[in-house]
Formats: sequence, structure tokens, C-alpha cells
Amino acid sequence: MIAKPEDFFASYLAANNAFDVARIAAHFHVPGAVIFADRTVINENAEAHRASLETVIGRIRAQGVVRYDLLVQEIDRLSMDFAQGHVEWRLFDGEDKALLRVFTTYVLRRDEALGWRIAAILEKGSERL
Amino acid sequence: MSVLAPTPEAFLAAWVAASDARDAAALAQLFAPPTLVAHRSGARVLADEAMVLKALTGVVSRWAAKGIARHAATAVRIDRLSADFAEIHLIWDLRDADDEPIQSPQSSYVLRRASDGFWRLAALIEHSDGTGG
Repeated sequence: MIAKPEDFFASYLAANNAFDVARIAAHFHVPGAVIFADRTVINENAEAHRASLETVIGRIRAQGVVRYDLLVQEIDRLSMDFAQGHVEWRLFDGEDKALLRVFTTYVLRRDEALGWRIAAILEKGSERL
Repeated sequence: MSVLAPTPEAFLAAWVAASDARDAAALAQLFAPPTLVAHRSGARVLADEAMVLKALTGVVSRWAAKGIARHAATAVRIDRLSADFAEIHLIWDLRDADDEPIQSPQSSYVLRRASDGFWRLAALIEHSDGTGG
């Protein structure tokens, strides 16, 4: 269980670098939302969410990505139970060349039993390098 | 009548006007469903326009039952996150017709600029209901 929003992103980055769907999924609340510029994807339950993660991870790996890095630009404590982190992802290939920058905001919610997890993701954009 | 918000600031003004009018249909036009409503103990999803309108009809009924007549936004912070995303963080000062305070809920509104250029609600965060409970 992640007890502080400041500890969330190190754990989330490690789960992503393991390409481990179960570990990544453990960082999310359900239902949860992934909000893009042109649409919103709702993951209503854990099963739908895992399927969605499998698809995303498969698509990323197909681009040759083997590693992520994550720069946390700011963590904003909105209230006792909500925080958000504005981050920049970098995605690297097998030669450690950065392929992509992705700009994302994570809305985190604290649950007494589950700790801090993602309630919503805002996919703000990306840039191919 | 169309309720359109060309800026996040206009969104807030339209939201206040529709709330003071207890106009669920006008409020519903400010949503971009599916919309996640996250609160302290969980979240619910307003999947489509019909669900949004039904939920808002219930909300305005509760406002009427409590005698809430005026919605003033205080401690407002508007963050532009990108060209297409913005957030409004605020504390509502909800008052009755005699200007007596009733409730002061804290909320955050995640807005997205749609392809028509207007800003709508993609997610709502209800930090507290402002009753102290």
C-alpha cells in the first residue's frame, strides 16, 4: 500500500519497467478514467482494466520500447484524499535511445485500505524524439 | 438554448448561472460523457447524456430541498494544463435566499476542450461535501 503521494511514482515506474500488468493494475482504482484530448476511456472493473493495460503495453512494446523513465514535474496536494502529479515520461529502445516523450497528469485518490492509487489519467500529449 | 463555454472561465460562469437557476438541462450541456465523478470513498461513472441529466436532476432537487439558492465560487484556481486540458479548483459558498451559508463543498473540475473548441467537464472531483461530515 502506498502511504504518500510522493512515493507513488517510484512504485508506478518500477511496475511499468517490469511490464507487469498485475503490478501496474495495482496502482489504479476502478472505476477509473483515461482522458484523452478526443475521448474518455472508462475502466469499469479490474478485468476491463487489465485487458486495457495488456493492449497498451503490447502497443508500446511493438514500438521497440524496453524501458521507461519518469520525471515528476510537480505533485499537487488538492485535499486530504486527492492529489495529482504532473509527469513527463521518456520511453527508450534497446539501445537506450529515447523514442518518445509523453506528458501526463495523474489524479490520485487515497483509500483507507488501498492507499494512494490512480483515479484518472489525463493524456496531455506526446512528442516523438 | 445552447450552453457553450469558449474558455475555462466561461465554463465556471455558465456553471454558476445554471446552478443558480437549478437548470439541470443547462448543466448537462457542460458535460462530456462518459464523465468520472470521484469522491472520497470511491467513484461513479456518468456514462452518457441520459445518465448525466438524471444525476443532475437529482442534484438540483437536493439543492431545492436544502434551500440552496446561490452558488458562489471562492478560492478559485484555474490551471491550464495543456492546449486541451484545464482544471478549476474551488470551494463553493452555497447560500439560501436570505444569504445564509448552508454548505461549502470543495471541488475540482477537469475540463477538456472538445473539437468544436468549447470546454466541457471530463471529470469531477468532490473533495468534500462541505458539511463537516
